[in-house]
Order: sequence, then C-alpha cells, then structure tokens
Amino acid sequence: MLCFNAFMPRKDPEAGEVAAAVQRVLRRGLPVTPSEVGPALLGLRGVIARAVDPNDDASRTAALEGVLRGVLVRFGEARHAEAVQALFGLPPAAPGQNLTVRRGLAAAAAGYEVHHFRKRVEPRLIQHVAWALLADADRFTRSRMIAPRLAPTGERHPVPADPFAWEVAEHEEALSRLWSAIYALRAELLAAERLTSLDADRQEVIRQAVTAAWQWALASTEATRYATAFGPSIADESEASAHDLVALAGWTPPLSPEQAERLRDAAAEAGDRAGFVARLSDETALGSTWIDAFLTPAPRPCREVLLTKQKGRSCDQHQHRARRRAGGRVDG
Amino acid sequence: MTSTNTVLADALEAALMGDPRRYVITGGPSSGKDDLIEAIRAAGIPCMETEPGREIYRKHRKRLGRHLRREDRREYSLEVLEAFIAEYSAHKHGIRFYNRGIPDGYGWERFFGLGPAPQLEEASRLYRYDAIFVLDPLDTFEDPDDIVWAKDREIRRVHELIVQGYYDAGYDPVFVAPDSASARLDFICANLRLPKPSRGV
Repeated sequence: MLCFNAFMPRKDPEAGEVAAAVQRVLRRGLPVTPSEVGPALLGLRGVIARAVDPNDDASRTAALEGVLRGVLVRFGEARHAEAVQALFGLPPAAPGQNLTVRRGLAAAAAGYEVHHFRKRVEPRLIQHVAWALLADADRFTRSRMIAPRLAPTGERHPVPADPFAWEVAEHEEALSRLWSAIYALRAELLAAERLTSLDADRQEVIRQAVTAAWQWALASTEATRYATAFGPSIADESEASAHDLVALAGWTPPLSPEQAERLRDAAAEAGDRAGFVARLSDETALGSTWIDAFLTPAPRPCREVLLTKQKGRSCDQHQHRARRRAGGRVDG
Repeated sequence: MTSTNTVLADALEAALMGDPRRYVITGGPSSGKDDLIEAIRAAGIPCMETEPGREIYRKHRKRLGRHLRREDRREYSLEVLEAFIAEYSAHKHGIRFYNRGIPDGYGWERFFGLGPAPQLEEASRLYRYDAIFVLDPLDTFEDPDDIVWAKDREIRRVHELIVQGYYDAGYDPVFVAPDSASARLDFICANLRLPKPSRGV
C-alpha cells in the first residue's frame, strides 16, 4: 500500500517556538553558532532549502545565518530597521558585542530610552523577525503531490528572459501536463466506479474500464516523462516517483510491471483510444486483469469493519460475499 | 559609452587609474535587472551587457533538443562559470558592473538539487567582487485574490537561493528596494560614493 505520509508537506515550527528561538539567538547575536540554535530555527523550510547539505546541522546553521541576515537587512519597518540590525549584531553594532551594548545602540538608533526599548519595543521586533522567518518558510512550502493553484487573470504573464525563469516556466509546463493527465485519469476512474455502483450494463462498464486503462497509460507515460526530466530536482522536499504520482488519481487494478509497460507502449504507439484498443486486442490476460476488477464492486471497508466488530463477523467474510454477489452479476 | 554626467564621468576616469573594482547586480527573474543594466550603460558606466548564462542555455538546449535534465545542468553550470571567470579576469582597471556574478552559480545549483561544484567553490574564493547589489523583486506576485502562481512562487524561491549563494560565498549583499531603474542606480552609486547619474549633466 502506498504511504502518503511520506509525501505530506512537513509542518513548520509554531510561531511561538520560532519567536522563543529568535530570542535565544539574540543573546549572543550574529553570527549564529550550532550550539545556540535549536530545531525550531534549523527546521524551517527556508533554512532547509538553502542548506548545502540539509542533513548537516552546520550547513543548516550557515543557511540560517543567511536567512536571518536577509530578514534583518530587509526589515519592513523603516523606523526600526537600523535598531533591529544593531540588536542582532549587524552595523551599527559589531559581531562579538554583548547584548547590553547592542541593545543600547539599537535603542539609540530608534530614538528610545533603553529600558523602554527593552520592555516595549524589543519583544515586538523579535516577533516581527519570527514572522518574517515563517513567511520566508512559507515560500518554500511546496509539494509535488499538490496540483498548482490557478486563478482567473486578465493579464499576460510574460516569462522573463532568464535561464532560471525559462527553467521554472518549463517545469510548470510539465507540471501542468502531468496534472492534466492525472485528473483526466481521475475522471475516468470515477466514471468506472460510478457505473459499477449503478449496476450499469456490463458492456458500458467494460467500455469505461478500457477508457480508464487508456487514460492510465497516458498518465503513467506523462508521469514517467516528468520524473525523468525533473526528479529529483528543483530543491523539492517530496520526491515522488512516477508510480506515486499516477496513484494519486485513485485506485486502479494491480498490474505487473510487464502489463503496465504493455499499456504504456500501446498508448504511445496509438494516437487515440481506438488505436490503443486495437493494439491490445490479443492481450486477453491483461484485459481480464484490468476489466474484471471494475466489474467487481469494491468492498466498503469502513462500514464493514464496524459491522464486523458489532456482529463478530470477519471482514474477509464480507468481502467474500461481496465478490460472490458481483461474480453472479458478471457471469449472468 | 561615455557618461553624459561630467561629475560622474570624471569619477569614472579617475577610477581607471586605480585597481579594478567589480560590482555585481543580481537578483531573481523579475527583479528589474535588465532595466537597471540598461540604465547603468546609459549613464556611461562600464557594464557587462548580457548575462552569459542566457546564450549558453540556448546553446545547450539547441544541442540537446530538449529541456536540461539533472545530468545536463552541471555541464551547463560549469560552462557559465567559465564565462564568468573570463569576464572577471578580462577587467583590469576601473569600475565595472556585472550582470550576475560567480556566486549566482550556488543559487542555480541549489535550485536544481545539486551540491556546489568544487570549481564553483574555488572560483568564489579566488575571484572576489567589491560589492554585491541584490535587486529585490519588483513584482509582489500577488493578484487581487491573493493567489500566487506556481511559476512566480518558484521565481521568488530562485531569488532567495541566489541571495543565500552570496552569503555562502562570504558576501554581505546590499539589497536594492523595488523602484525605478534610475532611482535604483542613484541608490547604488550613493552606496559606492559615486556621483548620482540623475544629478545633472
């Protein structure tokens, strides 16, 4: 069974944890050292994505240093920009100065009396730095397993003449084609399950199952193409295989690698569904594997399990009966 | 090209007598880099015209007949590095602005999940620039519905990875806020203690 947990986006640390961690960094100021930064800061996605070696704390610490400097130098509130930089040891302060000295410089830069600054202003600045770190982390929150969001737009979106932008645009092109294929497969699988549930005409179910097989082959080919061209790449934290991507469309009958390859080859050779069917006309075993599965109603595990617990029946018994019911209908 | 601002022209002339001074203009796509480079050139300040990465990218695509895959990116990256080193080494006297610099390679490599190449690490150590100006993105990439397009999110990520590359290479970049190209150039010149190009002739 496919475990989706492995592909779920990692959760960033809570705002409170980040603020507390920033407070700890403040004690000694920049540059940060591995001993004074905990998992809350080293676990931020923005830090992990920038680290040369994400598995190495020293590398993450170096990345955190860059993130913090970037946040401080681009501090949004102009009035407190110099103060927050001084507070953390950037000019007008200097590395190695203790917090009292840095705080004095920061208070002076913002035009406050030092005690007022420490009590009223400093906590707010720390909070702002924490939010900025979390906002940065949000920019790095992504998962290949989630389709790109779309929005209505009346504006043209030109691609800047830049190798980075060309790569990014090409990646989104491939991603759009991939998701288009996955959703098309999803539609056909849903249609097949709906017809089965409706107890529709056998021929109708078979026709739909074949359409789903064709769409599966197209989606699988697209996913393989995508995984070959882009994976693992683009600093992606969720490395999904072509198989994992296609599996997102929904349940499909289990196929051997050879059968899967045969379907993909047939779809690649054929220009349309009719050509796909023609190329597989001799594949009786493959046809049975795929089509028979859709002619069999799926068991309803959750309710059955509950009933099983209540009535003391085994889940297997329910599934066996479901199969027998379905078998009768198919054969008839 | 000669500066039309005489004070600036004098300053550039004087700088020609001294050691080379190299300043990098960098940032992700959509940061207004091209407009600024054009403004720098229009002001008569020596500047690298085009980023070598673009032509090398086109050449690689043409040769491969397809998208650059993971295995192709390293080769591309090294060729771009060579071009940057050649640009760096060719400059002997005075001021020159660069359309991206050697440490941009860190951003490229990280974006594509590659570790930094030893050649890049060595070049970053040997060929040092005098100042780095990072142009923060002009576009906030937010539409009225607050939806950020996947491509635009990626572009913002590229920007941040480029910035990190400069920190990794031991630089403290100066961030240039979104503004018109001439205002940005004035800011940069003020930072370098050069006369502002917009201040008279």
